[in-house]
Amino acid sequence: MSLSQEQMLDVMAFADDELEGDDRDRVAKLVEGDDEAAELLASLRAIGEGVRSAVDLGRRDVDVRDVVMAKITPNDLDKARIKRTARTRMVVVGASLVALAAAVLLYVRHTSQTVATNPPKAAPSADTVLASSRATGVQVDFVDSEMPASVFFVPADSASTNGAKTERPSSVVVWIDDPPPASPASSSPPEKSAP
Amino acid sequence: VRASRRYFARALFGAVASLAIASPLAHAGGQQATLEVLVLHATTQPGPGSIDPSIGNMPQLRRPPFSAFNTYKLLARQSLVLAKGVPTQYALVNGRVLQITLTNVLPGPRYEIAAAINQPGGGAYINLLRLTTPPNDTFFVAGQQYRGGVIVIGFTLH
Repeated sequence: MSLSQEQMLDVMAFADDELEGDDRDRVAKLVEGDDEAAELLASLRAIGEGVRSAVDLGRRDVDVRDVVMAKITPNDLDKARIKRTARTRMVVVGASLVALAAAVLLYVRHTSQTVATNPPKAAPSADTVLASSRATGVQVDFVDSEMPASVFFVPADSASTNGAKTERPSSVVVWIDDPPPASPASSSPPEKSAP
Repeated sequence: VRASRRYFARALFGAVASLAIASPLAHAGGQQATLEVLVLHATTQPGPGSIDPSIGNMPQLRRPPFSAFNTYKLLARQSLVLAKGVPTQYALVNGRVLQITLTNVLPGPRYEIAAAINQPGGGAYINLLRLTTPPNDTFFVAGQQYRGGVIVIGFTLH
């Protein structure tokens, strides 16, 4: 090693492009004329190249945000979207179940009301009266009462057919006796016409 | 966001559709009729008697069996909307409750009716009366004791 410490420092500064003007020319002549100085310069530049290629800094711009997003964004966004989709589907399923339950409840309530309104037809009792007025008029299908019941046809007008005066029944009366609790008198009308 | 809106729209549509399907079941297809209820008080008064002018033209009251009474007064007049399958209640002047249901609407139309008159806390006056009537024909249920006379209820469906 024939290079002095000062010359070595000069070569290192030359390798790092830190010298200017006369100092740079002087060291350049030293490197051209001295094999040892040239070898040292080549070694220093080789080390510098290796370090730069390993870190990969200084040759291209690095966007830290892009690097970080590239590492974390896809997975996290996918997870968030999956979670949101699952939550939405749960809401959809829940709303559908609630609507279905409401529909079933309404249907069951309606069915029970209909059954209560129309109980199974019991065997006709002694008070059951079936009658009908004219074909297009009122038709009594069923009467169930604990009290005596009668059905009357009440003509409201008269019609003449082939000289014979006939009365057309236009109203039906279901008369059900309602004996007063304190009075023995009956509410039955004195006149009754059979169906 | 678009997917969420689509799911919300589907959920809303499903809920509305379910209720739309259930509602006609609950109201029996939306078939309905208007029922005119006329409550009369029939009594026998000295002399020729009278018919309350507010009752209107009702010649049946001069014929049997109504002719057993010579005086008729209007106690109440009520218009009710009957929805098929839905019981409708109406309180009578004597404390009893009339419950009437439009059970079916036949072609024509002809209305199938189920009626009952009950005494709250007591026995039934009519357990069940079922009949079929065309529109605008009046039918009567009569015989309930009330203040020295009887109650005559006229029913007309439109």
